[in-house]
Amino acid sequence: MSGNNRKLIAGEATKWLSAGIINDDTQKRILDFYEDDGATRRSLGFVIFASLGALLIGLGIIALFAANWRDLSRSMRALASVTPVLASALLCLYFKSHGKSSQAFLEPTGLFWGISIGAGIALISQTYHLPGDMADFLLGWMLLLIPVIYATSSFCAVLGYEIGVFIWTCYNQANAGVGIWYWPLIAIALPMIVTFTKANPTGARATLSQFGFILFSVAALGVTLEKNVPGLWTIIYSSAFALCTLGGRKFEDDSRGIFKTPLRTVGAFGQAVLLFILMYAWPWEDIWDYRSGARFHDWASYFDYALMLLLPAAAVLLTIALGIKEKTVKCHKVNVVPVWTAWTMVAPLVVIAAYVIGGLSGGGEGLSAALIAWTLALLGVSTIADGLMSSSAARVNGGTLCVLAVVLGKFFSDEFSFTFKGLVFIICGILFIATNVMMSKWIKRKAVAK
Amino acid sequence: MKKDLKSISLVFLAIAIFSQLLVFASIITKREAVLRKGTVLRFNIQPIDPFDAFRGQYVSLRFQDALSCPMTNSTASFERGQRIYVRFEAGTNGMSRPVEAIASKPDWDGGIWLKTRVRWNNASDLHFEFPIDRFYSDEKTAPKIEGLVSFRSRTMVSNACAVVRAYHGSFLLGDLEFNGIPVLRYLEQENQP
Repeated sequence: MSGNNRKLIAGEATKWLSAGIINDDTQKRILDFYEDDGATRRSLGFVIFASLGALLIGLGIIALFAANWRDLSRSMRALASVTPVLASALLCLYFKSHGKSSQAFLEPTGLFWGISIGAGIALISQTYHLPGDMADFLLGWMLLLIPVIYATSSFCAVLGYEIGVFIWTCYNQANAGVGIWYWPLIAIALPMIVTFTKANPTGARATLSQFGFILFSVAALGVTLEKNVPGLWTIIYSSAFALCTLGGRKFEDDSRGIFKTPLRTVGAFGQAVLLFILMYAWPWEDIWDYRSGARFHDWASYFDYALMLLLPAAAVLLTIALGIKEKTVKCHKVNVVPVWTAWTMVAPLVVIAAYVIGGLSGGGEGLSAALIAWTLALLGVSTIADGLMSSSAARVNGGTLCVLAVVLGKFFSDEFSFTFKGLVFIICGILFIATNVMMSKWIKRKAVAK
Repeated sequence: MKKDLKSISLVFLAIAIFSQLLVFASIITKREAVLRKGTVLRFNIQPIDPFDAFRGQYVSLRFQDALSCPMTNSTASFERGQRIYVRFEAGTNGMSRPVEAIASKPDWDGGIWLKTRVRWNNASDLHFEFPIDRFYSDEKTAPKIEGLVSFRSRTMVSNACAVVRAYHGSFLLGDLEFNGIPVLRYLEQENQP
């Protein structure tokens, strides 16, 4: 708990004591429960500053190496390239063997070790004029970073690995290579992210490394598709976002906020943004062409086809499996399925239908766009209703934003005067505020009635 | 039990560190072997001057007459990406050039061979991957080297070449020469009043 929250609780406990709500003993127990763990905060501070120091030293070494030391002999350069790697490895070994397994020691060591490897490869490349582009350099660096991740459990090393593997994939795909190797490479870091999560599910290390993993993987999904058949990404992305949401329903606690539930947040937000994009006609144009040539690899496109079949099937089956387990929502004494099942099952199925319609000749893309726009609007309305039933302001606002996105988005694409557009903006704003005011009054009334 | 786990994890850590160092050591020793034991070859070059964010400034090298050899009946069936061995010989001007390509491993002592792969081929030539594409230098020297080449095209530097060492199928760039003088010494001479 943050220091400010702790102070707030202490202040409130004093007020409750003077109002006679609690006695001295209870106040003491409350204060003990939320006791300021100074040691932890000091340790966190040390980790941050030590890591920052390690980062600066590492970047300094890279800058020195890149400046190409003309005065050093070849053997001296080779020695200099390996020395920081050896030093950080021995430091790690020392910490581990002497029981100093605190992150305060291991985090900066991992960061420095990781940077030393990159710097070492760079200097050897310079010394021997080795060929190879950025992709070769990054791949070598990332592969040598794997032992660092597992030896130090360093968050920075994990994040660096996620970034490095993603950039390597982009370079590889952009230079007529194949991007699907991203998936086995990123899977190597997954056990460490699970370890972070098990240690402290809501901690910064767990949350940030999960966000990194999910966001880079979502971005990499688009990069790694071979795209021989354009447009398959629509189905694949919709199903992937549905699976993210389903993963969130399974593994993430309801009570956490959106910043502590990466799967749910990325799943819901991604699905809404995807549907928003697909309600225009342009993504549906040329979707049934087949592209080939030097930049496209026929064998790698089987990855696209497999995802196109497997992801929607998994989304539908898991929605049914998890939806049955979850209690249905009562609305006027009638049981209704929870609204998230619509986002995880209806959305991918509608996208598949829109994909098929979009491939039809003669205005098929217009029909697809309209189908998606209506779906997004209906999902928005359902989410508002679900938010009202479960007294969740976040869901009401989310649903309202979806409806507004459809209205404003479609509206922008059409030819209307600025006066008319201005008026519609004002009306939408009023509706948004009115919904929130009504919602808060309704929740209050409900609470009083209870 | 806990102590055992700690010992096992330390052993794994030591193995990981050893493997990491082994990678660095193998890169260094292989290159050192080529530079110390390799035969000297020279290739005509046309450098240009880009920048690598991590590895610093370098002169990107374009080779004349080093990237392809004439197509023969035996090389016509070679496919893109196939492992091949290319034999080099010195020409009359002292510059080396590829003369033949074969698919089977040659006798390393029976000539100067490059172990490489096919890039593409057409009716007359077989193009292969050449393992040298850059000469690293510091940020002040690299633009000067590039300047030398544009200078060369107009006036006196008539002979710019890459000095390459070849050993057991590996080629490694040793230096650049201008008029037979190593590039750094050539630049020093140029700067003298």
